[in-house]
Amino acid sequence: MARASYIPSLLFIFLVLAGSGQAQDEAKKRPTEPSKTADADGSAAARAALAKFEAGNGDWKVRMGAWVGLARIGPTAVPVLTEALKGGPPATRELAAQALVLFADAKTRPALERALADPKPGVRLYAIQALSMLGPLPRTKENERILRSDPNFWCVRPMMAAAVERADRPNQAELRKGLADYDLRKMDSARVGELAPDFTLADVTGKTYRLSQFRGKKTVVLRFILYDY
Amino acid sequence: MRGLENEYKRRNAQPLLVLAQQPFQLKRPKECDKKWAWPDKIPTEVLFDPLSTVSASYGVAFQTQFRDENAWSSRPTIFVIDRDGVLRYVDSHIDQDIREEGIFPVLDDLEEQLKLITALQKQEPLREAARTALAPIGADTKAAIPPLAKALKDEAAQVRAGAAAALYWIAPTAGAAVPALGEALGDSDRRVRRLSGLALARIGPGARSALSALIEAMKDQDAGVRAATADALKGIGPPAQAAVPALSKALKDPDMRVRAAVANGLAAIGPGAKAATRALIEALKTQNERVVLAVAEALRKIDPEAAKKAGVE
Repeated sequence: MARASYIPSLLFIFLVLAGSGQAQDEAKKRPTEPSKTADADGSAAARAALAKFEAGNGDWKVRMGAWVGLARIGPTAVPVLTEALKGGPPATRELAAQALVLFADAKTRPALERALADPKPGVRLYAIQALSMLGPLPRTKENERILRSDPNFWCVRPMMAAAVERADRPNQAELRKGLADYDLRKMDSARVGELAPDFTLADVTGKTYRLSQFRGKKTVVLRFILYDY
Repeated sequence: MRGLENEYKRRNAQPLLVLAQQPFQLKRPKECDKKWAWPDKIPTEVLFDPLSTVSASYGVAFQTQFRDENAWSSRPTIFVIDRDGVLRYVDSHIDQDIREEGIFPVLDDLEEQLKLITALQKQEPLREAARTALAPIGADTKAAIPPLAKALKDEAAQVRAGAAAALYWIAPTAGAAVPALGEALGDSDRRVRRLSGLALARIGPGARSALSALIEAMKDQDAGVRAATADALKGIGPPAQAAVPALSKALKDPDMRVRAAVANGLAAIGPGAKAATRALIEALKTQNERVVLAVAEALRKIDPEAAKKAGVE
């Protein structure tokens, strides 16, 4: 039964692919500036993603869907995200800051630095993380103030503490691809009595663990804890 | 974590701790508050999920705000995956980490269940059903239900316990076994009663037709049976209203796990459990934090005004 249900969706994907091929052919014929069109498409898609998030009432699947969607749009989403970071409603500013972790660059730096004074702790938190993607944060007076006396003791201060010491070189493009490639149909797919969703994750030394490597050998106790913002 | 290493080893189990964050976030400069510090040496079985994709697949991503401070965290949850790669157990809290030590009795129980089900394979008529119960749930799982339900009435306690364990493992598809499982709550063997209660709890709202047997089982002499029964009543939710007097009484159960499960059961029944309000307010005075949290939550769900009066925010 499960197999049969794939057929319509495969058919759908085929039709969409066929359709988009046609649209591309037409685009080639038109003498427009392709980069501007791509920017406009990216902005429209980013606006649609944020609107869908705002309509989703904080549901975690909607948040995950929006985050993945923005990663798929790619850097053309950045102008809309920067705008939302400045003037959106609190939850949207927070999502924009979270998404900018994957897109932070020299151009987004001023907006992210301004967001360090945002009243919503989640915005400050993700803005610090986004800035840290560009290298360790300098120990400026402002950053020292956040580290020592930001009113948010448990999240914002420790994030700043980690950000001023950051020593790794994160690969944003790889992170973006990892998120963009995530199949959203896998969300919430763990069910008692069924095969556990397989995954590969790395420890702090970079050594990877694949769940299925323990098959036939060990029982796995998989634990998710708090404090992992 | 180190002290527990042997406990895992003894059970041939591998602990994996998943943090939905980037590894750099664990590093802390010396001058920062000690409360934030992670141990100097980060254990290797701590895995990083910086994109929350694994947390999302396991259904725990972005569900809790750590200390209500506006940062999204995964929901504290513990999963047990058996040696065949099948998910066998989940325990999830809203805003409290789960004590790691609590998983060892669970692992021992799962091992015992595995042995009981495996032993069924020696019985010719149950061989296929037992094999099915040990495999991941699939299209053919339902075929195992009738022989297993029948085996709940076997002469041998070992066979009845094996059948109850098998039904517990395939409970999401075992709705058809509810009448037999309800009857088995009155079995003379403690394991059979306990596993039948666990199976009914996992069946959820479909366990409704066993309601009167469950109410009776709240008087069981075994605390494990009473806790599983309260879980099953929670799964039934508002239609379990007839169980409110039995649950109210059980708020004074000597076993802490039972009291917490009972409070959760009353919360699931909701406004229909108003008759339990006084007993709940009384139970707020208990010493155990987990019980108090569960009781407070039940009061909020059942009678928000009474909850406010009793000082529950």
